[in-house]
Amino acid sequence: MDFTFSKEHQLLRKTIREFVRREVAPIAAEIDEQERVPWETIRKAAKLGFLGVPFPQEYGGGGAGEIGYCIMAEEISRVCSSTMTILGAHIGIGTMAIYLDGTPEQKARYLPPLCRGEKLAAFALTEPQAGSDAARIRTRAVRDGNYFVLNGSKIWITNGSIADIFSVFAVTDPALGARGGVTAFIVEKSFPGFRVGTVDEKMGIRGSATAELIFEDCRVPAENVLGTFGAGFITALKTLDVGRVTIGAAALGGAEAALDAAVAYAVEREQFGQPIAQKQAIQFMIADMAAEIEALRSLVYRTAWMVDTHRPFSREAAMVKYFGSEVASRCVDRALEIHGSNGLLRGVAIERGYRDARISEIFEGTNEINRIVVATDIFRRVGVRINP
Amino acid sequence: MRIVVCIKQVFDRATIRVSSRGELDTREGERVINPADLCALEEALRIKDAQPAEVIALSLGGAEVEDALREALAIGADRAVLLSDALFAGSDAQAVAYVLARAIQTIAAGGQGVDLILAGSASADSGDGQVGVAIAEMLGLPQITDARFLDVTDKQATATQSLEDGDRRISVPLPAVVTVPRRSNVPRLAAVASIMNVYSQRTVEKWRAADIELDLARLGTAGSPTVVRRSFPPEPQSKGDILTGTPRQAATALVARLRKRGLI
Repeated sequence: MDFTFSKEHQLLRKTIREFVRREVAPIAAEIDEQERVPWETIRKAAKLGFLGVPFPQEYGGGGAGEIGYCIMAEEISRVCSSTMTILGAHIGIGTMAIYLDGTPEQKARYLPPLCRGEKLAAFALTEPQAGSDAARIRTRAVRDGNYFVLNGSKIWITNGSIADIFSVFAVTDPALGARGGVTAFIVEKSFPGFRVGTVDEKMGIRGSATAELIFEDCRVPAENVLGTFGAGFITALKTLDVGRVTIGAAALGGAEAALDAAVAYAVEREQFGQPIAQKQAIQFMIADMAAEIEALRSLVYRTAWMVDTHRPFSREAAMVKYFGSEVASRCVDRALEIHGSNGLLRGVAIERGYRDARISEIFEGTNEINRIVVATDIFRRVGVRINP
Repeated sequence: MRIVVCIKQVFDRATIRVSSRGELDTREGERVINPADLCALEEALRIKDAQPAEVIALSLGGAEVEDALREALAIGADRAVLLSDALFAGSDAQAVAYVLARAIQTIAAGGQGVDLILAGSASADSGDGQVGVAIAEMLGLPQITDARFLDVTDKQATATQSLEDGDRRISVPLPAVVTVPRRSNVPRLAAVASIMNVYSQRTVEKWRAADIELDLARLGTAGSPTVVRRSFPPEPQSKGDILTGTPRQAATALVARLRKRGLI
């Protein structure tokens, strides 16, 4: 067994780390404070191929696979969760849906500009009454000649107000529901009848744009049916499986940053005549953080390796997502505790890290849903079907 | 235009430790391209952005140095040559410069000459600042050291040097050697696809001593006049005091202290 990263992936990490130091770190606090999308960073990242990191080079991607993508998620999230959330929604779910299930024509048309970052993507599944119960989506798509006409709305769509291309899920046969009655569509923002609704103000990942999408008789050409007609729910689940691995990688970055901040503070802060690092109460928290981070790192990269080597990985992806996000939440919580009241101050990195961490337990399947995914798979293997 | 960029692989200073006895602990050391050499590579690539040019990265060292040259290829170099041979072990700046100079002559003989040789002003480890200068002397070429704002045409290189009492702008005819200080530009980063292809689709040419006609007496420890007598961490300096108050108050306090010590 060999746990070393390939030479290519080592150089990729080094390069991304330098990019983060130069371009992401200096404005991370500012974009959070101003709730501003860091377009300057996205453009520079696009030039280096970051917006197509995992995809094959034949589509204009970087060819770095899921491992390369996880390396990027980890390194960027150490410093700025907002920036990684934008890239994650673009790569991991918006573009990924087209890559996984698009027709050869759709891939040839949409992937190159998305991989080059000339266009931004988003993934639109969630609706007001259909969050965890995603099978209950109501957005309707009705055939009209060579078009489908979409009506309905989507909420909490990351990149919703800034994306150009959307992977949208709509009901094409209400009688069949999720099993054959949901179809995925590639919707361009210029299609008539599409518009952006409310843009949300958030506690964390404030530099990313989360918005409502509204479809009012939105006309989508029939050739933009993404993958197989009626198989949209499967496309959604497959896409989220991959996305979840990267949520874990991003959580790893957030947890590492929290540990680094806690260690630095514990060495510097003196109480009772010595640095608080000398106190076992602090040491135990630091050791627990380090151990959980080490476990998460192994789980993230082993699962990414499973993706890259075409092994089944749904169960592990769900584990990475919920375990990773909870490790990150525990780490930011302990790091904040070590910082004391200083950790609550605006401008102190852990204050932003604490606010940014919480969403990972919720988006791309709540941790409760991901536990059900894991348990369903475990019981399936002993012949017991868990009812959704 | 043909440009050779001399590259040295060094440890990232942030990843090595120095023991109290002055020994370097490099067990967790990460190897990187010397920062000033990255600036030299960036200058070469800027010339290539503006006119047809071939950029050749050249380095001397062990097998691990191949990674530095592959990084240079990923960033944008067209060719990479690694000089590696047991005979080079123990070489100081002068012996290294000799081998590099011979390699540059070999590169020049194998193609359309070499118009410009770029190198970092000094390395982040030994910091001699001698290699670029010595290459110029050995090849009998004009040189600009510590060059900033480099401007290269077909015939000459022009750059600004910062001196103690001001800047001067000087030109030299090509071919020439130009050394570039660290932080003199912002080196570009490699694109993802270039990184992912650089080990599988690019080559690093490996030359041994026998490939470049060398005088063996000028190699390794035999050809290196430098003798390291002792390595030690610099003596820690006292932190100093910061005088507060108005400028007048601070100045008064400063003068009083200097008088007390008999310095004025």
